[in-house]
Amino acid sequence: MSVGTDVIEPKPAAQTVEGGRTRKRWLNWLFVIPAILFQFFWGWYPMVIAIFLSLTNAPIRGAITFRGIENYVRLASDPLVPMAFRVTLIYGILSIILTFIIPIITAILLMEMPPKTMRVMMILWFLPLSGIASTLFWQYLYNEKFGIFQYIATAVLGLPPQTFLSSERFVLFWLIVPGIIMYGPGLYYIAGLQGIPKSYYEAAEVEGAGFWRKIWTISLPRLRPIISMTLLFSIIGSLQEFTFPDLMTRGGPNGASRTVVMYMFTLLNNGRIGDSTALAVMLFALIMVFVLVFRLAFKSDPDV
Amino acid sequence: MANSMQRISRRQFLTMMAAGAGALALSACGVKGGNETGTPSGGGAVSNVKLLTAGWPIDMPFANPTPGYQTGYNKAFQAWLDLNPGVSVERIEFNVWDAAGLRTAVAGGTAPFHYPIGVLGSWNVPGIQASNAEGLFADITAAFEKHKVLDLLDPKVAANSSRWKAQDGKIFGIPYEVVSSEGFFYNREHLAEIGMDSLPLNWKWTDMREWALKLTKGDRKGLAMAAYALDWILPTYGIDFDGLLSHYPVPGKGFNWRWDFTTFVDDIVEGVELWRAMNFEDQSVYTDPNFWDFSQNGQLATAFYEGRASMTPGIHLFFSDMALKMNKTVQEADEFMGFNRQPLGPMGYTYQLPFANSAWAFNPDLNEEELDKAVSLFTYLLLGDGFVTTTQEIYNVNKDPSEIVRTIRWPFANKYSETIPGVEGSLSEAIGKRFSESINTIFSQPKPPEVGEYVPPEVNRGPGDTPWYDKLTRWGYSQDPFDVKTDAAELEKILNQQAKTFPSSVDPDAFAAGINRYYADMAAYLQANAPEFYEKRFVPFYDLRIKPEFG
Repeated sequence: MSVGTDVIEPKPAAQTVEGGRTRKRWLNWLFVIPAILFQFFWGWYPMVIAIFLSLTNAPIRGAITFRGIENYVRLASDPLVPMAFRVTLIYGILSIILTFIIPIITAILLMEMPPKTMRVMMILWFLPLSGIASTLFWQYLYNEKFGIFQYIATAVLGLPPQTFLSSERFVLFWLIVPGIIMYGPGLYYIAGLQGIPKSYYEAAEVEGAGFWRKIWTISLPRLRPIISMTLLFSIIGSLQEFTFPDLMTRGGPNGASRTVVMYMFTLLNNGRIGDSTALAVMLFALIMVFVLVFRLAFKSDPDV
Repeated sequence: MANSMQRISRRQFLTMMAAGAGALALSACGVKGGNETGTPSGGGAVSNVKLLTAGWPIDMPFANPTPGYQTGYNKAFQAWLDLNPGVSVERIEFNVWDAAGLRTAVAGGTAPFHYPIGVLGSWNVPGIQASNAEGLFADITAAFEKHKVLDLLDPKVAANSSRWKAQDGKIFGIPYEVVSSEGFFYNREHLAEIGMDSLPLNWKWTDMREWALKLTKGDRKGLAMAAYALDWILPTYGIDFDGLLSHYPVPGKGFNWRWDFTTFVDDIVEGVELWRAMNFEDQSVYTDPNFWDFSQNGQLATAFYEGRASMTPGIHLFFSDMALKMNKTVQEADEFMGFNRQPLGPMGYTYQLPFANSAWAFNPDLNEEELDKAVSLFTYLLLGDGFVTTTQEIYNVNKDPSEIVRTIRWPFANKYSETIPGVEGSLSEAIGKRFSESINTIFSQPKPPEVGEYVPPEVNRGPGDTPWYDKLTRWGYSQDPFDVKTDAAELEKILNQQAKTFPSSVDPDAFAAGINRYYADMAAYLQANAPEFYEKRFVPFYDLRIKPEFG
């Protein structure tokens, strides 16, 4: 064999670039199409169908009859609907205040710990737990006769017996308490904090900044994109809360913990599918308003 | 030296992963799901009928059957298959007791061939009849008659058909079990401590309070009760979401019903005070606002098994299961515990039925041939010859009839509750003389008329019972200050406000005719069985609410 006698003619440069772009485009679509299909079948299509069903009698079987806004009018005059929205908004606000801020502070404080301690604390905090199992466990903790919280309140702190989940005034607060402990976006905050260059803090220290000053001027601004994302998800999630209050209180006492999604589920179980979808559309509209206001008011770019 | 291994780029790796996932997704699409309803090919002759079952009471034959029930079931199942060539049965994973899931499956045509009627019908006659009117249950009239199902049924079951037969005579279900209304199991030994042998049939809730207090000793509570205690107490005053004295018909105003919780609000106050006194003053009740499960597997039953409660709610069907849980034979369980119906109200009224039929419906997407085979299989295995075969096998293991009633809940919906061909002995004695006597007594009580048997079904479901249960949770357990009368007025207002927004699908004349017949029969029933309640409550309410509109 003689080396160098077989010469491969290179392709013209323009043809190579064009071929690369075509292949890249094809591959891009290959990766994106499954997600689009998934979103279409599990997101957009059900949403459009729900809006359509909310304007009909939505029978389980048989002919569909168009009813216009009859379902919406019925819901508008149902006293349980504004009650459910009120509970949902209070739950959402309380939930965000209590379960949103604390993980940020915890993440910041964790970063100050020695690395080994931090790792152990992270494992304990972010241990994956079954949501349902945890919920049932909390039910026993709150039990007024033999729960440990009652024991602590009466035997340890000397308080009168507490009503916990059977108190209409405080049931929402007690429902949110487990979220303070179990909520896990702190992992995102720690990841964000670890991405901040140490030189920023060193420079601040040189300038004489103390601990809290550094947090306020460096950590929090750099965390803004993550905070923005998790806050948005928190708003959307808390306005659709269902599992936890349903398992813990079934919406009681006296509807004091019944969220909109819980009432939606009740309507569904009562065979009022048209009303249930109309309520879902109303909730969707409310959430969209919150999201739009949030996007307008909150800029996530820390450099703006 | 150059690395001779060819390295894969990140792009190539991701492309391979995507191709692999796509191939997996495509192959999954190609697998036949188990939720198809089989349709026979060809027109006339039976072939390729496939019935999909989600399990009990028609489950697949046992793979490695043990002697007794399993061998008997397998034998009966095979005998039926031999009589019906070309028919196959396939198991699917599905929870027929989940209302939302079952509703979705029926809507989508993926439901199993049989499912409990009550799940879609809210376990009451109006709900069941309305679900049938909506087409959620197949019309099995032809198959029912062809397979002579009526001849196999116990006469009292056959006569009590409002949960499986429409008002026009069409049949949409087959009764399988006979179920008592909710009552109480009680510990005989504990009762003996307070000088009692058994609970009397016509006891009242005031008696319950007195005896629960006497039975409470140390850590033991006289009564274990679920969170909806008031939903059992208030109806004995005629007050309920659909109570005789709190729910009344109105003609020609859209939805045909309205609510009244203020006319007899003092009764509500009395009932609430009774319960709260039991729970908070006497502290004779093991209860919690989150105790919703009164099954044989729940916390209340467990407290009963462990001797921490002397009485626990349940239905009579739990008896043999409870015996198993306590590792007792049914005779031993009969010595240990008794069963009684719920207490009556202060004027002798009970809202309870003596018993109800637990019926099973069939998938409306089955064609005529499939329905015929489905009804045939159900009837054969659970009511007819297959049932006899199965029970004979159970008996033949130890020649002990009590094994039959320990395995299959008693009494049966078919005609074999007392004796079975090839089985020696009486089944009512086998389950326990005292238990069977109390059940027979309860089941033979007069049955009050049910409004769903008289008026056409209303497919517009109307207001749900959510506001009613809201108030029950407050009245039952809240320790925040509240006023029952204010709450009752609010409850009435909410329900009536909701009711005004619903139309009605019922013909007004048919409704009026049915209502008049219902109240006439109810008046006769009350005069005979609860005369004080009739005079002091029913007549005033009828004169106030019913007579002006329908009189």
